[in-house]
Amino acid sequence: MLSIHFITSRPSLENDIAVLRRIIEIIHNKDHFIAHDWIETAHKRLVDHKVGTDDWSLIYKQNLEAIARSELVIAEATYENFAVGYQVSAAIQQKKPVLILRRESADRNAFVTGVEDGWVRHAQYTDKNLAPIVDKFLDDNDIKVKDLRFNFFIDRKIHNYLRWASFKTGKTKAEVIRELLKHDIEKGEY
Amino acid sequence: MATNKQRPVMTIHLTGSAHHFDEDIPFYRTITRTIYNHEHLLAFDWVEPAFVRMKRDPTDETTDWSSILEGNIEAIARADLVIIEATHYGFGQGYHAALALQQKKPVLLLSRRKDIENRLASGIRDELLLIKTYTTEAELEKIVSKFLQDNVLTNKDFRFNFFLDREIYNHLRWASFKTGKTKAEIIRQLIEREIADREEY
Repeated sequence: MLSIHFITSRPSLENDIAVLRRIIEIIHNKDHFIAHDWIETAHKRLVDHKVGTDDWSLIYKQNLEAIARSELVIAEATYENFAVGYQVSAAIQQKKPVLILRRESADRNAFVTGVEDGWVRHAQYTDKNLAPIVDKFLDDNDIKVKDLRFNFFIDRKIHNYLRWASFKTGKTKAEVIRELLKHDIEKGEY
Repeated sequence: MATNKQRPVMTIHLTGSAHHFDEDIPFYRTITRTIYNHEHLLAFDWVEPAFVRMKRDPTDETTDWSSILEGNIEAIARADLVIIEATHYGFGQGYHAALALQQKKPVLLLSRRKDIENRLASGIRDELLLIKTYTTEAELEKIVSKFLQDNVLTNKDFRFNFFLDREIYNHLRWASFKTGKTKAEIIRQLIEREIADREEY
């Protein structure tokens, strides 16, 4: 089960709510969930009151926290705006895989098309191919099937220990660390 | 123009949208002029070349957005301060704002639209971000001048923390003992030598 943060713009909320609901449905159909379930509330507020929110600090905080705890990010960026750009940038900086979706009819001469990063995938969609595009992104980044790279600093003492343990057990240093973590998980405090 | 020979020259990155140059160009020029009047530098001198390009071919659909973004990313990294003209509230301006704040650069976000107060940008809680609205070039010049003055780099040293492993630490301790210099002085000299040797810098 993956946690997905979903980003879109106010014009998409106003004009394309059916598409946004379809994307969320595709995510749910794959047994994944939305990290911050904001779309329906924001849409209702726009329809009923014609305003986004009274508290943008809270919205900002909720979205940035959702990016931090999500495993993947999907941005519907047919109408590219500041908020979408800000969040996509924050997600890339946090090394989250990002799917940037734009309608096939959207302007191709747009800044968003220049966002290139190993973590970013662009897709132009139609009503027909939306589901396969989102499905493939979810499948390709499902943690079940893909190991995650993890880098961290170690000091000389730990390095010497790992080198010794690796030599003694015939395992790689990475395997030694993974076993330690698994033992820690098995202790049951987690 | 207030000049001060003791004040260091800062590198400023100015970014914004090129989609509405006809209405925006006087304001970009005001910002640029104000930066130069304060004897600072632009990290990436893109405004006038982009304006000429747009004048020549307003329907230009061959813009290489990857190169433009790459240029902006590099400019943000080099800049001491970042100024973002965000009247059109575009994707690029949001993208650059997040990038600059992540790199702990002071950011001035400018808009001629009061409704920026009713948008996500107004919710960003970061002490390095200053959002200002303006209507006239004179007002803009004042805002930019104040931002430059408030964020001028003093000649004070900056604290810099970083990891070093035992091998480097032992070398520094040895070099410090041999030369009578502190470990910090040895590192600073190494960096200064590297700067002097780097022709591309």
